[in-house]
Amino acid sequence: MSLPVLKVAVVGHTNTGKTSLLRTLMRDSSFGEISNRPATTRHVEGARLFVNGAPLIELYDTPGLEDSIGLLEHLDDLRDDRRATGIQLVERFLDSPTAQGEYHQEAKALRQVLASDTALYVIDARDRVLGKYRDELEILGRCARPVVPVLNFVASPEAKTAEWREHLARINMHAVAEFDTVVFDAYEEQRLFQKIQTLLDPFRATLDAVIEDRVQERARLNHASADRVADMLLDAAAYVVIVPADDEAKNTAAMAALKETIRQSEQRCVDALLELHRFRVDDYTAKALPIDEGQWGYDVFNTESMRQFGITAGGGAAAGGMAGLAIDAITGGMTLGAAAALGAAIGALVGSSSSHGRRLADLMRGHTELRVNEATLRHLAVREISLVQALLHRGHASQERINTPDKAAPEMTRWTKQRLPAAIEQARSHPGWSRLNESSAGIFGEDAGRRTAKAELVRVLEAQFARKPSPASARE
Amino acid sequence: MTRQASTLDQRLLTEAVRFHEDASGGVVDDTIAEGLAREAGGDFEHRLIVRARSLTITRSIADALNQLRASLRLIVAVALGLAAIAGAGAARVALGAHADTPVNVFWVLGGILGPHVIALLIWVGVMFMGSGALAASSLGGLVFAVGRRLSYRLHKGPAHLAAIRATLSVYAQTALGRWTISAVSHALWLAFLSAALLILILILSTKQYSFVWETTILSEKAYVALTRALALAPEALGFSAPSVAQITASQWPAPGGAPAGADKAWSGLLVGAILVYGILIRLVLMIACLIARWRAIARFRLDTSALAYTRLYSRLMPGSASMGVIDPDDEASTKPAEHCEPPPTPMRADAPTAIVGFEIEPPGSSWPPAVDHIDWLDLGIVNGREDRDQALQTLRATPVRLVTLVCAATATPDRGSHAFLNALQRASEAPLALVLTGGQRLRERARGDDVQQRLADWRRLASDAKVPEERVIDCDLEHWTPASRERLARLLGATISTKSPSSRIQAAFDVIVEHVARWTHQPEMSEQAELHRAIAKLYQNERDIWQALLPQRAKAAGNVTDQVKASADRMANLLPSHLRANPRWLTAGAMAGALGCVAAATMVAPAAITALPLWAGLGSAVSMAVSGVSRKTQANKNDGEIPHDYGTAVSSAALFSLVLELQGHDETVITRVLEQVIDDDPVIEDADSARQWLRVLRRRFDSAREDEARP
Repeated sequence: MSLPVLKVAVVGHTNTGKTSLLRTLMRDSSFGEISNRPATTRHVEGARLFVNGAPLIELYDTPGLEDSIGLLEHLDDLRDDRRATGIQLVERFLDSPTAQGEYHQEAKALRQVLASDTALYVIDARDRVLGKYRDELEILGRCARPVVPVLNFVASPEAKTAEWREHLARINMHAVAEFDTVVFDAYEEQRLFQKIQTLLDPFRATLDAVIEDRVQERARLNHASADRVADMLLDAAAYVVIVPADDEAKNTAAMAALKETIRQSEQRCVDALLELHRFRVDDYTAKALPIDEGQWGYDVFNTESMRQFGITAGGGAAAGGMAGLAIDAITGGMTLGAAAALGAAIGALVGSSSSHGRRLADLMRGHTELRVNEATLRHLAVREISLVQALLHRGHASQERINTPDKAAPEMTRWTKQRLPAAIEQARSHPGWSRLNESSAGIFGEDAGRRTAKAELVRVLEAQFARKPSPASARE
Repeated sequence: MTRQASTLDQRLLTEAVRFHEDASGGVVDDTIAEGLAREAGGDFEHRLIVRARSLTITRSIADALNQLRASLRLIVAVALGLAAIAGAGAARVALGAHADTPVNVFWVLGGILGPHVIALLIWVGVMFMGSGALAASSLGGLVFAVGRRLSYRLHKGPAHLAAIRATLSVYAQTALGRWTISAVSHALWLAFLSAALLILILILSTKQYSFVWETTILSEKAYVALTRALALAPEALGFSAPSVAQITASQWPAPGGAPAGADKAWSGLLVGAILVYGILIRLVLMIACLIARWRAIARFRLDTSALAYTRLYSRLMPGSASMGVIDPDDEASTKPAEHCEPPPTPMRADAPTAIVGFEIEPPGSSWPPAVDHIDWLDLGIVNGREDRDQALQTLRATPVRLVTLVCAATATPDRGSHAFLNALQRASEAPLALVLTGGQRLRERARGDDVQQRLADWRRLASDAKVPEERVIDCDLEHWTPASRERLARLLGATISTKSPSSRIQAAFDVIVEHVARWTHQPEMSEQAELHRAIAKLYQNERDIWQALLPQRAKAAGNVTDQVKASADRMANLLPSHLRANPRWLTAGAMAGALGCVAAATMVAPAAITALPLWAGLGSAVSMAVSGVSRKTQANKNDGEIPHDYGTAVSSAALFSLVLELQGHDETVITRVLEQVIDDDPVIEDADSARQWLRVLRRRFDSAREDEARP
């Protein structure tokens, strides 16, 4: 397969987010340098987009156009005969000494436009259509290359999208893309590629391949995230610690240990998700990451935080160290209250699992089982789901912190109020399913029941991720 | 080994590496292996295989896989031997030890073919039920279970565990396992039946048996039909079978003795039936399963959607790569042409003051802004080339005492703005002042550092153009207040009446003392919120400004908790550095911000804050925000215990009043004033001590204000 490589120059006024656009398209938050200051990028820097290992698009980040009013005046000064076309004037300018001096930054950008197949003109849609922007468009219009205006920051409430579209239509630019380098929208990205397609037919197949690849990439991310979160939830749901019922000190220590294990398990999940979505904890974005220094700000057992997510935090009995935990006690072998105990009994009778038998024996000897309670499971689920949703909608140029979702987020009630998915409830009575239970780590790999339950949970989670988060949690 | 089998081994190895990595805490970072994989090219699976092959841990895993394979082979071989012995035994037992007693021919057949037929039926059944059931209920499954247990007992260690798990998961999750187990099952039965047949022939060749059949309830007809049906296939292959007469004659007890040749015919049927209904069927099925297995191997691909693989995807199949700098920054004269410094001209008192807006939003209030005693020459708002030329032309034609350039703080100071500033200086001899408007909008958009950076960038632009620092101010025309008017007037040098400092701060302090007098215990968060609201009410008229100072987003959909949190952060950031290091003041700052946000939210409600329905949410939000801010900055200071008195509550309220009083100034000014006013850690136990402390604060505040007012 040898599709033609599309060369794209990314141009625009200074500090409108050209490098950010590249980062987002590249899914690489380490490309170039971004700041809120003028002229951060002072050179032309290239990047390739690969599909299945083959480079299909070359993107060029250029220095910002800063003084277009002056440059346009200068271009008009160069017009010495009436018939000189726009492109001739631009070429004349690039050969002139001013292209090395006062306007050398603009010259770099224009030279790159001429060397490319198309130009993306990045616009900060929060600004009005000022004279300098009109002049920039006028200069780009003289470069004899198709230009696709890209409205950045459209997710901002200040965005003047309609005003910009009206002006662009007036100067015959109808293929306008909307894009937000901070709030990522896969659909808009696809539309951006399609807009380029409408202007550049020879590259139709190239762009089709890129679009298809992006769709697959997203599905892959969705699936892998669901897989990771499902594992963590099943591990937490099935996790059981058995302690002697009457030993206060051991109980307290066990509670602390259980909580620590759950915390670490969640942290591993968060690390994996960040890595999966290619947001590195150690690079500069860390200071603005979701979760301070790559961690959730609030403990998973924090009842305040649960309430915030709209989760009813456990019964009144949960006090002190017991917050977020549940206990299955057995006194004299008669009050096998929980279904878990019944499951243990059946399991022991059938003899399908040796761990069941041990559990029953432990319970009979007056031990108690410690586990996380339902509210904690809901909390874990909601936290990780909202993290994944936020990551899926986060541009790789975003420097903002990811917000915790509003408790009113309607798509979350499935996790905060309704019955938890059957797979999680099943896991409650299968300690062997938790990879956190050391003794139960079956040497022969994953239990078939767990595999089925996990597949089911992954399906539920994937459907959840595919939903768009409510605006409050997506936007800063 | 065929090429396919070897790639199966490679895939298995890759899976085993994955299991090993999963068990040992995640993907191994091996840049060399990753580089090799990227160079190898091909699809993602191929790169995964190359990477797995090149890792250093792979050697031990490959050894483990080989050992596992060897032990499985050994087990299968042993099982085949055992099956053969069992078959021979079965044939021996079925015929009986004594040749002189007649042998029931159907018992012999049942004894040898029976278990095989039952096992076959079960196999057919479980083939429809999935590989799990197959593994649990077939000889092949049993062999594998024993094999992996043996391997596990013999070799312990993570590499072996990974090898077993990988093999198991591949066999369990693909058709490969089903066909392998089936093929082994058929092979075992084949061994069993072949051995049985061999022994049968051996015994029949060397001993004389007489075959009979007997029945209590069935008719003779049924036996004849059964025998003929059984004989059909063997006869077709040339084996002898008893005729109807021979069958009838062989019933026990034989009325007339066995007819001659019947025994021979019966043994022909025995051999033929075992061959056809046993060995042939198993042979055909085994070959079919081997073919199916071979095809399953050919079809087998790694499940690249597995999490560990997906995590490697971006490393092995990079979607993008930087090409590096193509056209480097040549550090040419980035500065626009230097122009000559404007001669310092004294202000001409009689001339008007020019004002020009550069690429700003027309402010909501009047343009130009109304300032007492200022006579404006309005050059308009410049948006493009035409506006610019016109403004410059007017300026050239009219002598003015001062040129006021209004720029948007939200805009990035670029060479375009620099060029315009220079053009203004060329067009007029009058000195230039720079006013940055839209500060609030900027603060809404950006974070604290970025706001400061942007303002500093504008100041640098001004200083590059030799505009003195005191003639640059951040003054939001969109939120026009008496305070900002005063500041603008001072900038423009208009004579302003020095008003007596507001007595409002005193009123606010009085409110604090009044509340403290009412407290009998450590005040609840809601009581403190009441106090903050009472203070906020004194500043109700400028509400939209101080709400902006705290980043109070007016958005209806805004998340209350985040607003509170942001507000607490904001206020804590306003504190001068020495106070920020003090846990009490940090808490007080966060509390002032958080409760100020609550005050703003509940301003309109006359009811007590505790009674408000939203308080439950707000209260928890406040405590989270406060603890969040304090925790973050004092992570390494555990010694900072906050004493239990009213100190924190009063500090928070006092801080809130001071910031409200100072609104309209930019952040650096607020911080500077706070630095002069607050320097101690108050101990406040009652209303009197509160009054005393606030009196000191008031005195310092007045003098700090006077210092600020001085140019």
